[in-house]
Amino acid sequence: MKRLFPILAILTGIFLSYALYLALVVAPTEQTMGNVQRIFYYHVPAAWTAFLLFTINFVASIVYLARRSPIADAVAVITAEVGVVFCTIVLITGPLWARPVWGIWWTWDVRLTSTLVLWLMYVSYLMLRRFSTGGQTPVLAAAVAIFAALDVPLVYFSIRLFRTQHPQPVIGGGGSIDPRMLHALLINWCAFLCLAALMCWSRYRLEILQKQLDEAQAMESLAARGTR
Amino acid sequence: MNFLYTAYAAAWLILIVYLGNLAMRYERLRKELKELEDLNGKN
Amino acid sequence: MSVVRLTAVTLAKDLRLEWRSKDAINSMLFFALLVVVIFSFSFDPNAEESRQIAGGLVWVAFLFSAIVALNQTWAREVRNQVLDAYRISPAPANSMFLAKAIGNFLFVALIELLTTPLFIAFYKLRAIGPAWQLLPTAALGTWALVVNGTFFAAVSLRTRSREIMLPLLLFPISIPAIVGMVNATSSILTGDYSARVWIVLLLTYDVIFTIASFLLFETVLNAE
Repeated sequence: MKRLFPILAILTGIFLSYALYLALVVAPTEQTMGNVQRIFYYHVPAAWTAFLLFTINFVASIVYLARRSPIADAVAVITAEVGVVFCTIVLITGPLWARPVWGIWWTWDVRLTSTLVLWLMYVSYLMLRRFSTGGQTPVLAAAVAIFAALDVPLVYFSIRLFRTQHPQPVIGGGGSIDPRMLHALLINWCAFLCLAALMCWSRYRLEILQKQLDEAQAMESLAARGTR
Repeated sequence: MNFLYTAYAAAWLILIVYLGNLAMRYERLRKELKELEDLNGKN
Repeated sequence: MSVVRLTAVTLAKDLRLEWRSKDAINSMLFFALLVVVIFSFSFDPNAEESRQIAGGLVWVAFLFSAIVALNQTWAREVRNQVLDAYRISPAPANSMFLAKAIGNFLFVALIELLTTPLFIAFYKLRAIGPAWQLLPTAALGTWALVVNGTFFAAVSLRTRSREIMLPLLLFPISIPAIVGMVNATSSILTGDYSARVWIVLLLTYDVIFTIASFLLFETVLNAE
């Protein structure tokens, strides 16, 4: 197992490099936006990866409340953390794309705003996990995660409604996509998924270490009590 | 053009910072665990 | 004892206790007043512009006042180990939750009732749209804040910095409701759009999160 990780890391690194090459060199230059549009090849896969991770968090939280399985709780905290990382990437690359193309850093565009609220909700989830004392943190966190997940469609609709009344510039536009661009996009997404999986695995190792530490601390306090 | 490279660099910076943070936490935990095991070993 | 009766009894007890000491209500009222005054200094109440932003200002003031109210929701229970007693008793946890939520709703509604005339006076507000729609907006909006706030107040009980944890959890989740409240109020004040779609959004939000709170409160209570 221990040897597998570096091998996978190197493979992922190669995959990511290939994906980067596709994004920066192979993919055709967009007509209206120019080269800046290539940010899209990181912005969108990061978003899809974050959404996937948060979905897993939702499922894991429900499983935890149903079965109190420690693995479900570990999956929940891991996917939340790694999800926030990818969500941060979305929120940073978005404005960097918007500014040269549409002249503004931010707009209350449906997708960007929903992503911001998503980020806020999961950061608050992580803060709860950090600040919570007592052994029942996983239960409370799972409840909050479920609330956050329930909120997601509401956030999306409320902002869409807002936009129908207060039209704002659209970022990212729709329309058909050149197959070579689609290819680059999907390859980058796969590479991101591999990276996310590796990051989750690393985070999981941290979680295991934490559990070992908790056990050792419990042993230590027992032993101390024994010698008194 | 600048924005393009800044965006990619920012994405990688965020990833590296997180991985670095993970590594730091891992080291700290490992050290704490080792100290505890030594302590338990003495007992 | 049925759930309804238990809720009524618990609510009556809370209201009676609050009426005797009037601690919380006085501090909340004064806080709300201060917020209104500070807003008046910060956002110049020039007639036309103020009508556009008044919807937002009003609800931000109510949101902050609600946080003050919500933070003390469970304080009395924690001080007197009531929660432990509740856990052991066969009484349904949801009646306690409902009683607390309704109690908070009444407190915040009272604050809204008393500070709204101030807003109207300072900002020279007049509703151009159908003013009666402000009632369901206020009711649904307040319930949205209060139901989630009471739930997260319980979640925050076993955390360091309990008072800051509540707004950290409540604000992000409340964003759709805030968008609804503010836009409904602005629509009614400016008369530019119909508030109906926002009121429906608020209603949906309230239904979803009331159900979610009822389903999960017992779990959270037992986890403390």
